[in-house]
Amino acid sequence: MSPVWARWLGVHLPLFRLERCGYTAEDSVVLVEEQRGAWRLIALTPAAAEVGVRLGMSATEALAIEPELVVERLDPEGEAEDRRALVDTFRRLSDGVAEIGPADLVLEAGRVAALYGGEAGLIEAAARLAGALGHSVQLAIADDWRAALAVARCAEQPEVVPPGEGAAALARLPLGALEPPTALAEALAAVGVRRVGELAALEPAAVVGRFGAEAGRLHRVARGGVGDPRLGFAPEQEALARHVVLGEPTERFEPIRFVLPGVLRELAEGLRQRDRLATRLLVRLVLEAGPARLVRLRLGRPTRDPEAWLAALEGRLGEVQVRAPIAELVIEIEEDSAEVGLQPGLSSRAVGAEPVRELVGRLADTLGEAALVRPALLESWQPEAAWSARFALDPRPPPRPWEPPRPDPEAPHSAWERSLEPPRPALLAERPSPAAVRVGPAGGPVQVMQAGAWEPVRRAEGPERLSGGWWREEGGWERDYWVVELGSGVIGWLYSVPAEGGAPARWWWHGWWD
Amino acid sequence: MADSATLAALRARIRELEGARVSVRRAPSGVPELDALLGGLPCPGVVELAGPVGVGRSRLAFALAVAAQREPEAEVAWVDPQRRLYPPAAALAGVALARLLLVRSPGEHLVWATEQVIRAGCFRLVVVADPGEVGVGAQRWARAAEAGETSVIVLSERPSRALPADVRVQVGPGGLAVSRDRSGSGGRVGPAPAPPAAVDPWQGPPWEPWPARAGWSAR
Repeated sequence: MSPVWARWLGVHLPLFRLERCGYTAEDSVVLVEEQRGAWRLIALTPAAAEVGVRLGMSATEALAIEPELVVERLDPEGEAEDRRALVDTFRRLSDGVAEIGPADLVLEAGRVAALYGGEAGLIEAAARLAGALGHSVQLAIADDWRAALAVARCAEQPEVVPPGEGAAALARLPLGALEPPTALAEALAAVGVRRVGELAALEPAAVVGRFGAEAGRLHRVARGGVGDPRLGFAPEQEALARHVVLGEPTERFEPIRFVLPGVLRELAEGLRQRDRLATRLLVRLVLEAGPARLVRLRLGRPTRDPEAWLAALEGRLGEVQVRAPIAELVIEIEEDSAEVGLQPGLSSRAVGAEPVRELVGRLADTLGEAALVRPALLESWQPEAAWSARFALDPRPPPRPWEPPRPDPEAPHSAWERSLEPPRPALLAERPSPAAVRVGPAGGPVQVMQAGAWEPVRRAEGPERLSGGWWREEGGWERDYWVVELGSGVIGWLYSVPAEGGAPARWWWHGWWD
Repeated sequence: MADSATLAALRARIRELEGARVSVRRAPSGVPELDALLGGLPCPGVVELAGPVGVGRSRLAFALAVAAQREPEAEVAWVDPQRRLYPPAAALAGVALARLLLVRSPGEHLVWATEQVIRAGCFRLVVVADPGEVGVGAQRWARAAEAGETSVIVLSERPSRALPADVRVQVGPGGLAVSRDRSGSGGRVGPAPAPPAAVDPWQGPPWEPWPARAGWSAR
């Protein structure tokens, strides 16, 4: 199975804290907050930075440098309210939006990018949204949310970091782009690590051993991996995810199997409190190096039975091959549904048999929904359009289901007419293939090319003329079908398309009476 | 290098093992011609219906599916990697499409997906249509059939050595021939069941001469 990539959109709003107060980048303004008995600068515009004021400076010092400087005091409640409104607005783009600090947001991009025509389209939509709100914005998409924000903070233009290329994109950036804690930044600077690429070059065990777990996370990001797999999105979503840091990174399934039951029970309890059932689980395997491995598990029937989840997960996780030891594990309910009152086992043949719905759900993760279908008949003369293949768990009824005509007592010929319904072949080619056919004087096939040789037609019946679609702009179709039995005993279904202007008709193989 | 006597002894032993009779439980298939030939359908077990495309293997499988679905709520799975099954024909033959799961598995997952479908035990009958060269992976299907207590019908163009079929039936224009039967000697022949009129190509309506394009029979 190929890995599934998680993708994140980093939204950096460098002037959000001042723009919300009505200022622009051209205004010489600073935002101050009372710290340790003095009003200190916590945000400033580029115009203010140009005259030499710096973050952390006191307001008095700043005014000494630039007496015309506008000093705006922080309004914590008002700013928090505006930030909540900002998050709500960005939820129009993705349901997964997390606040990261006062000027940064992260959006889950992997599942929604297709809605905008791709990741570039999503970035454009985010830029338009920020512009409509009157905020300047810097944007980037990457495999990890920290990487996305780091690139966004340093990017003059929106940037899409291709999957798996996070390390290369980050290598050139200053370490501060990852916003390490001050003490960690100073400790790394003391050993000469000032760029992300320099951090990535260190050995993982040495980084964690010397600088701690947070340094280990930043190191994973620097190497193109995932630092912190799960963000605090909306509280209701957070309740449906569990994050486990394994005591010892492992490539074996047994340690994961050990922690699964407890985690699954907690998730089931979260669902029970909401009267919901899970239909799809997502397991993120955070590796020591490289991108996280995502394992999605569709459940055949909605359930919050942790034993059923465990049985299904054991099968899937036991097969997963990883390229680096698994350091952390995140399990989340990716999709849920209301209780529907299903009776498990009602349709199963025997006690102990796996219900069809569960089997289909399990197989769909690997085969795709198009590979597991319930056929339904449609009303169409065109043979290939006379049925539909719908995913076996699709709850919607098939479109325009075909029903046999009801006997009409007023129509004495209806029974006779029904008896004229022609038989149909057991096998039909998805695409008809050209056939080489020699026809007799009456227009019927007498020889058919098979494996490079002409084979005589022992018996033929036809033509059954089928046509339709003449009302459409692109024109209609018309075919004359023949049932032919070849000398080998094979019975096929051929059709000819009537040619115009006296040209010979073109013939096609369409089916077999297998 | 082993001498010829050892090789001959080994060959004899292999023949002995291959020819050994194995008790395979049979259940009425619902198709009298097949029951007369085989004494019923192995359940659990694997039956291979081998013959070229177009000789009636699928119609025979339709008849078995219809019989399997006579039990209320019984489901049938049809594994169709070639994506050629024409469900309207199955419906005309009497197959209840609402209780037919069509598995159109791509080739790389075919062996695994088929094993899962068989092993699940929720299908009365599993038909595997033209799986092609499946290799030794197909040997798991027999064990899965035991686990799922399922009858498996494999339709193939030519007999597959890799498939551990309990019964191998050659389907031809002239009828059916048993070429292998683990619980018997094989070699029996019999007529193929007549297809239902709805899927019998020669039971169509009398074609009226089309204006300027007369109907024609080359018989």
